[in-house]
Amino acid sequence: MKKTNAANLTTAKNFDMKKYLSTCIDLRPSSLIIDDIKWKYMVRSAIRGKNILLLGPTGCGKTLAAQTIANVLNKNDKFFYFNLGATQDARSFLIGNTHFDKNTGTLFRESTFIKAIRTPNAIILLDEISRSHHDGVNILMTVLDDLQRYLRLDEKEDNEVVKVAEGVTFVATANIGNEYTATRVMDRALLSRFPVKIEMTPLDKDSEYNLLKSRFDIIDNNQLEILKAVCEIADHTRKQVKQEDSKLTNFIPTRSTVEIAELIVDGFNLLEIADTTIYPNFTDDGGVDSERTYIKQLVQKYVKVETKENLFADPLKSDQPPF
Amino acid sequence: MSNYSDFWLEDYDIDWDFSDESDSVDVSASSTVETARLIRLSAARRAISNYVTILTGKQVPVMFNDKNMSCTDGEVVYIGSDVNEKNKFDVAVGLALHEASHIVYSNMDMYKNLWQNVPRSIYDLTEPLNIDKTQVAEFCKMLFNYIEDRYIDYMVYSGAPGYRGYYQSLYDNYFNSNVRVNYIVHLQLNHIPIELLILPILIQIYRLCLVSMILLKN
Repeated sequence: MKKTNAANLTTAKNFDMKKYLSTCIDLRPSSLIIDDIKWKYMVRSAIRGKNILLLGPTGCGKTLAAQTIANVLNKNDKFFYFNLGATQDARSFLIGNTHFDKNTGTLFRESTFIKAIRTPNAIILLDEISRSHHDGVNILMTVLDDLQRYLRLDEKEDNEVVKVAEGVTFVATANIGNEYTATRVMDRALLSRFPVKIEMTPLDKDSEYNLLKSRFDIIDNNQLEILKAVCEIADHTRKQVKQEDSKLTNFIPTRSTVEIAELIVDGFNLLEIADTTIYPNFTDDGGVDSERTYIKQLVQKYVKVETKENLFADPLKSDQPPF
Repeated sequence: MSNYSDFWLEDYDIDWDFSDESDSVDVSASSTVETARLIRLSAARRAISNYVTILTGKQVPVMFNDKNMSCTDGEVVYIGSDVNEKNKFDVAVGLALHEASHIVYSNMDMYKNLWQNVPRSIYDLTEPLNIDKTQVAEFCKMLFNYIEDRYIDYMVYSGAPGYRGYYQSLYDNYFNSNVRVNYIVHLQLNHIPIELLILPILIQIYRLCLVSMILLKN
C-alpha cells in the first residue's frame, strides 16, 4: 500500500474511513511490531486529529510508533517532536521567551511548539509527558482539551490566543510504574484528554529476534546465535520482573537489545556484551544473593563450555561402539 | 576438578570451601560454627535456587535435605546435596537443573495417578505371574523415570550449552562412580519382584513406557 497524505484524506470528499482502516494494516512497516488493533487506532486518530496516549515501559517502541505513523501518513514535514522530560522551564519551552533589545525594548519570541500547533494536520509528539513539570501539564490542559484547543500567550503583550489548527494530532508517551522514579503521577484531568490509551508491550523473543536480524541484516550463524541468546535473556528478564517475588527489579528493554545487536555486528561476543551492556544494569548489592548473580547465571546458560565428554553423544554417529 | 560455579562466584572474594571452618570463625564455639553453616547454606541455597527459576520461569521454592535424596512434586524442589565444599556446588546446581527440568518437561499428573496410567497390556503380562499391581506400577515408575531423566537432561544439555558443565559434574558424581551406581541400583531394585526382570517382560514394559511417555507429552 502506498503512503497516504492524511491531510488530503480528511478533506477528501467521499472518504470512507471504515474501508481505509480495513486496509491500513498494510501500511505498517516491518520495523514496528504492534498489534493490528492498536495500529488501526493510531492511524484513525492521526487522520481524525485525535489525541493518542502511548503507555509502556522504557524502550518498548512508543516514540518509534509515533514517528512511524507520521512517516506512513506522509506527514514528515508536519511532524514535531517535543521531549517534555528534557526541560525545566516549561513556559519558555511551550509558549516562548521575552527578550530585551536596547533599541526596540522587550519583544516576545514564540516557541517552536506554537509554530507546531498552528500547522494544520500536524502530528505533535509530546514525549515523556509523565516526566513533564507541573507547569507544562497546566499549559497543555487547554491545548489538549477537545472542546478548547487553544493556548494563551500570556507572556505576550496582547495575551494572544493561538487556536490549535485543524487536524492536529497530539501523541503523548508516558512511563507508568513505580520503577520510574523521575516521573510524576498523571492526574485524571490530563488522562481524560486522552480518551483511548494504547499500551505498548515489550516484544516477545521471536519478534525481537526477527526484527533485529532483518534490521541489521545479520546472516552469520555465530552472530545469529548470540542474537538469539540476547533476545532470550531479554525476554526472560521482562517476564521475571513482572512476577510476584521476582528475582529482578530491572529488565533489558528493546532499546538495549538494538544497541547490543550493533555490538554483535561489530564482532563482540556474548561475554563482552554482557560485561558492558547487561551486568551493569543489575545491582550487586546483596553479594551472592544479588540481581547481578542471577543475571550472570542466566547469561551463563548461553556461554559454551568445554566438558570432558559429550554426555548425550549419539552412539549411532560415533566411531566407538555403544557397548 | 573444574568449578563451573566460578562463573558467578568469581566476583565475591569469599572462601566458599567451608569444610575448613578455622579460617573465619571460632570453631571452639559450636553455636558460631552452626550459625556460619546456616548462613553459608542459605546463601548457597538462594544462589542455586536461581537456576530453578531460570529454567522454569517460576518462583519454585528449593529445599535442601541431608538425605541424599533429590526430587520434586512440581511445586517444590528438594535437593539432597551437601554444599559445604565449593566443589560440591556444581553437583548441587546439576541436581537443581535436573529437578527443575522435571517441572518443565514432566507430566506430574501422570506420576500422581500412575497406577491408572499403566497400560492394560502390561497388567495382562504380569497378572499370570501373580505380581501385585502396585509393584508393577512402581516398577513402571522406575523405568519411566529412568527414560524421562535421560530425556529431560538431554533437553537442557542441548538447549543450554553453558550448563553442560553442571551435568558433567552431576554424572561424574552419580553415574561415573561405582559406589554410587551400586547404591542407586540397590535402592531402586530392592523392592522389585525378580519375575519382573524376565527379559521379554522387561522389554515389553520398557517399550510401553517409552510409547506412553511420548503420547503423554504430545
